[in-house]
Amino acid sequence: MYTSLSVAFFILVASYLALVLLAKRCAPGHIRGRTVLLLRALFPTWRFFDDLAEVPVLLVRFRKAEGEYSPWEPCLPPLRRSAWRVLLNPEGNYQLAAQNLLCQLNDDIDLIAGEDVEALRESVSYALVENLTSFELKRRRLLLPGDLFQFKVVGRVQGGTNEADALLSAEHVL
Amino acid sequence: MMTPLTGDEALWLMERVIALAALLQATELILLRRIYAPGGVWIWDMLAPEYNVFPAIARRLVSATLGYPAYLLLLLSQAFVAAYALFYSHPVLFGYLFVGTLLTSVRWRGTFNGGSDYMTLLVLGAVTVANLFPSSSLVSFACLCYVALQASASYWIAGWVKARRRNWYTGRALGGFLKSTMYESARLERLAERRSVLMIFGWLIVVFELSFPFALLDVRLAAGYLCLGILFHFSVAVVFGLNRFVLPWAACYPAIYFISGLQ
Repeated sequence: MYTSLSVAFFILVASYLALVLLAKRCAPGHIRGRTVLLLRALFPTWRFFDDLAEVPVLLVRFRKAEGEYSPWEPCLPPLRRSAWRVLLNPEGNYQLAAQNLLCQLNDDIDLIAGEDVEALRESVSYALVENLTSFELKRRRLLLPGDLFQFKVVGRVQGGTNEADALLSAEHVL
Repeated sequence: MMTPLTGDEALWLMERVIALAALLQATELILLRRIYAPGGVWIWDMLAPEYNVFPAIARRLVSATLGYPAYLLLLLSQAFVAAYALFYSHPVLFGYLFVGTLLTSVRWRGTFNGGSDYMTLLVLGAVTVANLFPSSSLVSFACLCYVALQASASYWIAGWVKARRRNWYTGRALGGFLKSTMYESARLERLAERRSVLMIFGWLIVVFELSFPFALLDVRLAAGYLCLGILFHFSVAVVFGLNRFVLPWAACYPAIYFISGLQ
């Protein structure tokens, strides 16, 4: 009884380890399969904070129907630290998820935008970033329905100030 | 004199801590419901076409559970089951939490919170399997070994990738990360300019992560490393807002402590 259970269990563990090793052999940028990307939580990589990198930052500007555009400003405002956030940090995790989304858009820019900006603007990542921008503008009560906004994604090396434009959106109506 | 844990004690502790992690994770997502409700950001109707790569049966499962308000109901049930699992052990409870956490990762196009999702799934998977075979001490032992191995690997690999970067020895990497957190903090900005402090902490982090597997060798070493580990994860949560890393890693600690006490 024990033997058959143990054998079944070890086959399960060995299969999982084999999958983990297989996933490790492919750098994340080279994984093309959408299924693997959607299920990547099953394939740990354990590479955290390895080195400074260029990260995408979302900037936004807006205007009333008849007015001029405001200067570019960060779409996600910095948060205030509090002891409570060590236990429960929904706002911080929302910002991390938003950052993750910008990285996904960056990957899409690398994959499809080279030749076809229109295809990029039809991608799910672009639509979600547009949602993120309008959601933030509504939440901060900066605009009314019918007002216009534009967002851009810039690359900024962590700890640095230099920026390189990666994407300028079309003009959108709130 | 340090007392080693028995396998049953280690498993029991792991179950309680990972249940608490699952409860807090579900609570955070419930509090964030506006971002995935209609009018939010991650709206299901926009995401749904991405899941056409799945087989039909999996597509039906994700459409039934990840739309709104079905996803909110899933999270509420996750919170309820996690609260129950704080006190009771059953494979169905942990299996449900495993599936719910995996569905959440899938809904966020792979992961909601990167490493913490990996570790939460790993520990939930291990405790589910251990609970499926309650009378087999060999299965429990294998589950504890697997969690301890992956937890040690998580520190060692994170240390190894840092050890290959010069920026970690000069303090430049740590300074750059401190300047790019989600929080507004003048004190942290000033700290990020103190190169000697950054250098010392950079070295300490690399040495701690690379040497972590030594914790498996002895209970006294394990106790020291696990205290440092908790301090490390709390610091990361305070400074970078990565609170979701604290409990899933803490859930692995009973397994490491158990392995370190094996004769």
